Amino acid sequence: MTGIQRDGDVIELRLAAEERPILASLAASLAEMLEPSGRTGDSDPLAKLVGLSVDPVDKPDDPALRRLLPDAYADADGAAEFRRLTDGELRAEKVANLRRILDGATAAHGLVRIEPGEVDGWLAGLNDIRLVIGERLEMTEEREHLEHLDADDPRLPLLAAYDWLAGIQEWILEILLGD
Amino acid sequence: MTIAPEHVRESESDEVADPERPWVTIVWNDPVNLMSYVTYVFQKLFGYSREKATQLMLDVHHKGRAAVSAGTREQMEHDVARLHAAGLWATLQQD
Repeated sequence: MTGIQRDGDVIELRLAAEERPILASLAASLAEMLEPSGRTGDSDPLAKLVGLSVDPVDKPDDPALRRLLPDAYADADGAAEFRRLTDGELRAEKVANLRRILDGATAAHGLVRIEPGEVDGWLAGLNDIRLVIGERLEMTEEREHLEHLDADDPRLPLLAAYDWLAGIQEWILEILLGD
Repeated sequence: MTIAPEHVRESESDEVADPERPWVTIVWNDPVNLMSYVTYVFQKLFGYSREKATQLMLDVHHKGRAAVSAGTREQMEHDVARLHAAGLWATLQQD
């Protein structure tokens, strides 16, 4: 059973044995989806080295990735230029958050110590996983289409993970906002 | 005590000095982000009080969008990038 407590400035998250591989696999697969190697362009090695793309960066085809890497401008030209300049850094930050969660999920005995400097990355990473699941489930505020799913409906485990991760987010936020 | 409308960050002096109209950062509603998380992000990124961050979160939730910061285009591009990193759906536009 998941549990949380604070130890001074550190948040201690306890993950049950059956929960750890679920979190690890969600974090790992989203990190893989976000890897910049999936991008087109990057013909200039120096630009690639500093994380800037000289070539245009395509808007992702996957709606879930479009939600994680959204357009910053309503007009297509502005959005494309912003994406060209920021896409690499944004993906790298999200991947780093997910790797941290992956490390936590594989920690010994399932006890994760989240330092103050890491907590925002944890929250953002958990949130990104939920955004992707939410996109796959076509999540709505009312979520009527997700009620009364059959026991063998493939959406059921995704929905369970989605709500479980929301619970972890809420616990962490309760501690942070309770100050 | 004041009855003047509250400005969304950036001071008036900045707007006076800037001949262009100010830019604003808009956050759009989505069904996934937790209300507590959105409030936390507004407090953390913009240094807003709990009350102000909560009000902006409720505006996003009920009206579908809210202007959360205003300033130069460069500042708003920075804010939008930070919001995207946090997983919020944000755009910038000229006011």
